[in-house]
Amino acid sequence: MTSVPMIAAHELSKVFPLERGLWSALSRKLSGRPPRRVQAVDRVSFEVAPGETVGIVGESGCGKSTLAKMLAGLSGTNGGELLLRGRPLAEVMSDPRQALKVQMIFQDPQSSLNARMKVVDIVGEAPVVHGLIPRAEKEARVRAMLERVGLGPEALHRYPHQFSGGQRQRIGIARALAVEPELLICDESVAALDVSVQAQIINLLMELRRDLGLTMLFISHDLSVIRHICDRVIVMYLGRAVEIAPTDALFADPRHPYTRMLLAGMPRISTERRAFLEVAGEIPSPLAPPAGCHFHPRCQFRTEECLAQRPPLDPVDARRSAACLRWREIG
Amino acid sequence: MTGFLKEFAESRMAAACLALSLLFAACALFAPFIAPMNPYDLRAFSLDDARLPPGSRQVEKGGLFRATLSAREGAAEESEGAATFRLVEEAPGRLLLTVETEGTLGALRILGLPRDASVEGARRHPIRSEWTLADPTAPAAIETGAMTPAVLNLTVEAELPATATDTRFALGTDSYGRDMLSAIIYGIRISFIVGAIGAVGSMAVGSALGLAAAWFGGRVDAAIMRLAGFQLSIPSLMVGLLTLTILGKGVDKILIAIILIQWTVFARTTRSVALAELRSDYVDAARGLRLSAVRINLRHILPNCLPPLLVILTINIASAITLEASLSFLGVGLPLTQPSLGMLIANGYEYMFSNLYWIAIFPGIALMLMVVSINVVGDRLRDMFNPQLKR
Repeated sequence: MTSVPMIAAHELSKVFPLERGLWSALSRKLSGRPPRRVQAVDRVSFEVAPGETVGIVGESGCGKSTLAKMLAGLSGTNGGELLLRGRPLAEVMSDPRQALKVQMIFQDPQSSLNARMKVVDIVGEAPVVHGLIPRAEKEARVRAMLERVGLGPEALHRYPHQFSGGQRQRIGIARALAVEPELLICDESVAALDVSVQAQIINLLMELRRDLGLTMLFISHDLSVIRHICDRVIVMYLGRAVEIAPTDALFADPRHPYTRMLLAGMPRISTERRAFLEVAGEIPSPLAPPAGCHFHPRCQFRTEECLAQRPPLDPVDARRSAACLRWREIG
Repeated sequence: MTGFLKEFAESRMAAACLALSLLFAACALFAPFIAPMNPYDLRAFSLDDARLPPGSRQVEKGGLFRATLSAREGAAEESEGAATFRLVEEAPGRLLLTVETEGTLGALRILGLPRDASVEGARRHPIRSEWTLADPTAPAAIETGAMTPAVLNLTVEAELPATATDTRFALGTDSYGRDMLSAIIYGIRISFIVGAIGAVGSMAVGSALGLAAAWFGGRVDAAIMRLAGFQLSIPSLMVGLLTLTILGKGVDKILIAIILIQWTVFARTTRSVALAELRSDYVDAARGLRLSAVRINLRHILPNCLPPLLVILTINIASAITLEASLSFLGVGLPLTQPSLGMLIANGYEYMFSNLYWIAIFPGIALMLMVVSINVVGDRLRDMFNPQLKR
């Protein structure tokens, strides 16, 4: 990582208040209890180099999507620092041309396309509005974008409901590409698709990454997808990053017990027998996360210390780190 | 589109009401070409036709001959068209006027006599010196006192009898002799246009505020929705009466009143639908593409809110028509120069107890049919857009 990182997040946090309005504020004042809130993202730090593909993996509710929305500038941050190409996010977002360099691909191809607009408008609206192309070139641009994502020009004047899920996801990708992004944030972008279609979309994304030199942040709960596409992986649990490692190292030698649990639960065709690590209990409520290490109630390696102290994200070696007090003993 | 119409027509009642609504809309648009008479054209109607029952023929006035006679020593003769007026002295102070025309006269009037003169067998106008003879066919005897004046100036009007024409008033006439059918068609025009523009205006204002409430949330949302809730707690007719009392009469004023009353329904509906739409990924995508808030709201969110809004629009057109009719009936709505159905009913209401039922009943029936048919169309649309009611 010699050049300026595409994303540099430092202690990034996001808190959602659960109580709003005058009445609850008053009752809180009177009773003196602290406001109830959810720490969706809790002091997460990481860097993404230009051209790199980083996966974010974790169970639902771990803050992956919130993190994605913060990175895309769709949701504000509550503390921490977020730099895009070395400039603060707020500064980047205030300049529309710069802000367009970050685009998202959404999970649900049904709701991510406006049902009442034709494909030519869905894909072509933003480039025209922002003056990237003159209005007269709109159709040509959209046709080129559709070709890029493997759709024919007959798609131009159709509505989203006339396409299959995979085709709709391709339209979503074309919409993002039309404004010439540098960073693509894929939020569970293949989770809603059939397995065969998933593979096509993943191949398309890899092809685009190679051809256009895109930096990608790939959010998924599906480890096999992550393993296939990512250079590095960030494992999240209840709003915290628990392990950051290159993909190969992570899958070969996980250092955090949660990562081990995830990997053990991953089905493999090669092994005859699927051995699960014993998992104690359910994922805790993010409303009342456990003290100390959030993972301790489910962890087989826990000590007294784990209950009291938040484990720091310790560097394991030059390229990986894990947030576990006993990472040296694990793996 | 044809599939939509086919589905709509699965309810025969709704199809019939749609046809009726379109008929009323056509009435509104093409009133001048449909109506047999222009109720605004003062030359087109006459008080002679006032309050005729349905099916009556229009009366045409006979020809009028008018001459000014200057009698010296009691004698004069004057010709005017096909009529000859002759004045002779029958006795001192008594002159005899004869009128010769083709056919018999329908009316005979003598004007401009001196104050002390009188006409035998005639009725004097309470203010003017105008004598109308009871029997226009017989010679008229003018009494000028003891002796005939040297010079006597007078004007004579002789009128041929009125004849019934082939034109019939299908629904009778009102107290000004206007054809009720024409008045109703023009009334539909005004009511329908006021209702439609009022409801569309309410939709524009209401959906803009609803979108703003959903988009900004927080205090803006609370302020707009509290205002709507507050206003909904006051009966709509009261709001209308109050507004028009302050603003005065007029089409523009009544449109303001309708918008003030109806924006709430549109605002609440738009807000609730928009809140659901705002959670969709396409809104996040549009924000990610840095489109302006106005563009996202108007081009992306609003079109997705339209189906329920169109249903409410249809029903609110009917309710705006009723509202306008009520306000006009109460005398605070439209000015007299813009007779809507409500005002026609109000005019006819005065005659209800004199057995002149047609002046109020027919506009009432027209209003009822229009409001009911538009409502049925709205209900049908609502059923169609409600997936839970779909079989």
